[in-house]
Amino acid sequence: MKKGIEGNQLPICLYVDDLIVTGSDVNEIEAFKTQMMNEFEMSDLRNLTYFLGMEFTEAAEGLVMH
Amino acid sequence: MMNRNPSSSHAETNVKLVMNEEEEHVDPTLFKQIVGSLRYLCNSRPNIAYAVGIISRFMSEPRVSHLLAAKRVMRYIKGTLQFGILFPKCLNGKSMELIAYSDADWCGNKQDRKSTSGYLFKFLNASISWCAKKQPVVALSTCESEYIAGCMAACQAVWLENILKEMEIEVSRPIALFIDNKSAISLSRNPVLHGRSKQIEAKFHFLREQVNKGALQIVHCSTELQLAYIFTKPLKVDKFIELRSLIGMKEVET
Repeated sequence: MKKGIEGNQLPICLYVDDLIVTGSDVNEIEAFKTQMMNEFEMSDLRNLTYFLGMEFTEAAEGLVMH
Repeated sequence: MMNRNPSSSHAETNVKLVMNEEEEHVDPTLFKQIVGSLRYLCNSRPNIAYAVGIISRFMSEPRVSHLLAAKRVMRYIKGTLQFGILFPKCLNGKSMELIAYSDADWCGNKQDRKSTSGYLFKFLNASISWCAKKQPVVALSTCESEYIAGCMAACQAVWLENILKEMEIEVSRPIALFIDNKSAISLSRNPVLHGRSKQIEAKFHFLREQVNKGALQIVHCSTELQLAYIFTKPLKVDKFIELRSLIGMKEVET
């Protein structure tokens, strides 16, 4: 599910053909996304809004799952 | 169902659902489908866990009053569609704090006199795990039912700690477990009150083992701050709304 590079963590959640990528370093997330998009045909849906039937909304205090 | 009036609370405070032989039967298939869907919803809505737990006890022989209760839960969901669990932003360097609350009612089920236990886990102030469940054995005292609830929470705590370790997250130990019953707390530290606790099944002493090992630290909290209260008792609307926001449920605008 994840890998650690230089103390940074990059957890990746994979379900069939859906991926959530998160991590402590923005550059590493971007690098991972570029790498994946070169390797496979996939689109970047930007910030998390929908995953496995759950909706996510960003609020001022944090992320709300509903 | 979609045009029904939304309801403000999920369960009636003063009504005890019981198995009533005289009441009319309802279609068991429909009832099971409703309960099944509601149980699925419990995965992301801790606020209905208690109500759904109660109605799912009548799956085998549903009657009119049970179906009405199920419909009430659906009306409540309709009124709270925009509610979700908040995962708060947190600052870097904050300690990886996992805290737990466990609570139990006593003899909540009037037919077999079994109690209901409930627990809630918060990680970095976000609710991540919860449960409302009828206990497998009859508890002889509130202390015993709280002790059994604490044991269930201890099992979950051990599992959660392991799964977080797998993700290379070191949880700060000991994990705090909040219980609002003082005798259950003393019982979890030492074999006290032997006369009234000797009947407790051996497996529930897992809680004491975890406490003595230092994995868990039991902390007393007042009933007002007991967040797991929402999983064990039907509440008045204002208390319910207060606890709902305390467990991190938030309304979003879309």
